[in-house]
Amino acid sequence: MLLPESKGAVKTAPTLAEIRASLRSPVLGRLILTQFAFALAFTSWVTAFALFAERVVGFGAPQTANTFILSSIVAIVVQLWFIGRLVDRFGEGRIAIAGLACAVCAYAGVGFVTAPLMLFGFIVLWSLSSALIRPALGALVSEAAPADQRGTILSVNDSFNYLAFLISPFLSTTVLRINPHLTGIVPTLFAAVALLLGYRLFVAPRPQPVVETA
Amino acid sequence: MDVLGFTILIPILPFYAEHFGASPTTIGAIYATLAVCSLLSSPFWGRLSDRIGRKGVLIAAQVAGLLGFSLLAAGTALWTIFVARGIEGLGGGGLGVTQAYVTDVTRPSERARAFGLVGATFGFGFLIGPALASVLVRYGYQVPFWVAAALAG
Repeated sequence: MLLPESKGAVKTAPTLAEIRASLRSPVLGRLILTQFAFALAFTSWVTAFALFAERVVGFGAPQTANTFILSSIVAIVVQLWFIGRLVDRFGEGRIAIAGLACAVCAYAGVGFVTAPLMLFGFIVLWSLSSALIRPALGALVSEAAPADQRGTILSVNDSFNYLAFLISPFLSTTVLRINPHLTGIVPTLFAAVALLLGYRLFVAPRPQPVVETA
Repeated sequence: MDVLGFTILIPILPFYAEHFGASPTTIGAIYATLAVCSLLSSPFWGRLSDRIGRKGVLIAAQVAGLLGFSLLAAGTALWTIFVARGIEGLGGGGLGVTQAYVTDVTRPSERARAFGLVGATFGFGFLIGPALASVLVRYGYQVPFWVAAALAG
């Protein structure tokens, strides 16, 4: 196996114009947009979770930590043993769609939580969704990026995740202050947008070119 | 290590900030500080990794993590939390460059599986980090951050 460090420095780095052109390509641009919508949903939930759990089911720091432990176990199991087989069978696009559908259900269900056990149920579904979406979308973005621009494009994609961290905490904590039970609304909306974008990209039939007949 | 530091933070940071009198909105601003700095710096690190290779860039990200967590642990006021998160963010070329590294060394048919492994690493971080945090926080809010700094170093 040849590690990237063994290759030496790239002699001609891509220009900013080339990078911009890559990001504007229909597939890569839409993939990054889908990932961004998912990231908005994910971050608005993660950053509000500790306070949400405290106000709705009375969790403190130890219980919050235990909830993340539960979600991690689900994510590890799915990503270590199942994601490869699922992608081999269904393809990255359909797996991403399935994950986004699970995410919408999980975030929407959070609004009805009244007890810790119910919360754990939705956390399992949320973990499953993230475990499906991240590898599938990550692989698709990396495949769509030109080889000499991967570092830049995957970092730009990463920047959109940070942009999500910038936007969503204000939204989710604002909703939390109004009514903690409504906290799930923000991630539900963003996940629904991601699902719609993903559906148009991976599932919806593309218009066929019209063949003119004499 | 990057993930572990992040996951140690998640359950504690809101309570740590509240300890210094932060409101929920201020807590949101603390998360946003890291995001702004990483948002700006990440493409720079990614482009640099395309030019000089991934290794040096990943080491720089770890150094920033070490400095950020140390300041967080040593902090005595709310503003130190903001500065610590800023330092960590400016060195935040970690994930995008890591993904690029993984992409470099895998075939397209193996990518999702490889990204799954990276995700599982995140999962282990989420597993170990909060567990560590819940034990360490009993000895004071600063202790988990010192441990995170040591792991980054």
